[in-house]
Formats: sequence, structure tokens, C-alpha cells
Amino acid sequence: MQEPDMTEQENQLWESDILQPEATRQLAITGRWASFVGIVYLSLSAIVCLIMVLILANLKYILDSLLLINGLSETALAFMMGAGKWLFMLMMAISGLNFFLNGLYLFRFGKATPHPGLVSEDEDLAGSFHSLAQYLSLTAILSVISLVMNLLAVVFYLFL
Amino acid sequence: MTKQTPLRLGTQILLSVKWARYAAMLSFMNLGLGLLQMLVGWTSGGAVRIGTLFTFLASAGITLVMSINLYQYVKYSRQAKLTHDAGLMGRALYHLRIYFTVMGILFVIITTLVMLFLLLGLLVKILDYARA
Repeated sequence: MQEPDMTEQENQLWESDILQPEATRQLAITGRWASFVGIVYLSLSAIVCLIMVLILANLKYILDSLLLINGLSETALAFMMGAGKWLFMLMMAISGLNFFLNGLYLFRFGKATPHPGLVSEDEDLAGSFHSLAQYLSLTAILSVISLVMNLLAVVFYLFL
Repeated sequence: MTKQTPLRLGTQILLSVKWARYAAMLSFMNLGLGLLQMLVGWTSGGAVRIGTLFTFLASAGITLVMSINLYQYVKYSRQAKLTHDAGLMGRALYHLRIYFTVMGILFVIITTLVMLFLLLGLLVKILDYARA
């Protein structure tokens, strides 16, 4: 990630008085919530991995059950056993990776924030804000993807 | 062996502010698109109307609170950088705190609901076995 341009003098001036006790206190609370959300995200990524393994292991049983409930055509069944299975796995892997990265960045952000009663080094805090920037950049990228998909959905609904 | 350049606190804060600005702006844009989708859903008529309205209101409320706080973090951080006022940085981090608190509370609610549903499903299964 490219860093915004700042002169050395500006950087030193900005860093010397940036985080006073009140700001550090707010950051500590923010970090605790971010850690919690990060842990939930990491757990979700683990659950997605587990679901992938379980589905791969029991695909035949699942399709047999679906066959009994809905009735599937031969073509649909062949697709689900072949390319469909891998397409589904790819989508699950992407969402699992998304959960994992979100969780990792948030957890790292939370972990490096100051703890009550302890003084944090500037470098630790810098690392913490670096993880926050990584998390926010991922959020922005995902927002762009969501925006494009929503826009396409509206266009398809209105014009096709 | 090459030594890694240490990260600078001020630069990293500004980097997070830059991405927070993009994320907040995109959230507002998504909200506008959500409104458009709600209007499209409204034209479909019937029971779908109520569903789309409630979905939009719930998601819009949460998105609005989170985006506004993220944007306030951007605004106050920039002011703090310009004026070197530590109080403003405190305010900026207060808004970042609200952003993560809302997210955390949402996650608590969702996790609790999922746990409850799982427990309920398990209870129904146990009762089925007991009856059998």
C-alpha cells in the first residue's frame, strides 16, 4: 500500500503530540471491540472451511436427499457432481478468505492497540493503524464489488 | 540481511484515514443504490413491498450510523493533522470507537441468534428421539 507523502519534519511534529491520554483510552476501547469482531470473523472462516469439507465428503448423500425432495434432472445432477461442485467450492473459498483477511486485520489492529495501564511503543501503534488501514482498504474494495453487483441487479431488473 | 523500515505512526494514521474516507463514501453510495432497489421493489407491489421497506430501513439505519461515524473519524483526524490539536484526535478516535462498537454489538446479536437457533434445533431433535 502506498503511504501519503509527508516531510520528515511534518511527521515528527504530527507524531510528537498525536495521541494524548484521552485518544489512547478511546483507542484501547476500539481495539477491544475490533479484536472481538476479528475473532468472530476468524471463527466464521473456520466454519466455512468445515462446511466445505463436510459438503465434499457428503455430496452424494446431499444430492440423493435433494433428489428425493425436489427431483433433479440428469443434467442438473451431472452439473452438481462436476463443475457445479467446484464452482460452489470456489465461492465458499472466496468468502472464507474474505472472512479470514477481515478477521486477521481486525485482530492485529486490536492486539497492537494500547492496553489499560500499559504504555505502547509508537511502532506498535503504527503497526496497529497499518492493520486498520489494511482492513479499511479491504472494506472499500468489497464495497466497490457490492456496488457493481447491486447496480447490475437493478439494470437487469429494469431493462432485461 | 536487510532491515525493514519501521512504520511511522503519523503516516499510518493518515493511511487509515485515506481508506476510511473511501470506505465511508462507498457506503453512502451503496445506501443510495439500496434506496433505488427499495423503490424498484416497491413497484413490484404485494407483500414484497413491506419486506423490501423493512429490509431497507434496517440496513440503512445501521449503514448510516456506521458510515457517519467513519466519516467523522476522517474529518476530525484531518483537522487534528492541520491544527496539531490532540483533542480533535481524541474525538476522531471516539467516532472510530462508535463504528467498531456498533459492529461489535451487531455481531453479538447475530452470534446469539445463531446459537439460539442451533440450540432450538438440537432441542427439537432430542424431543423427536425421546418420542421415538
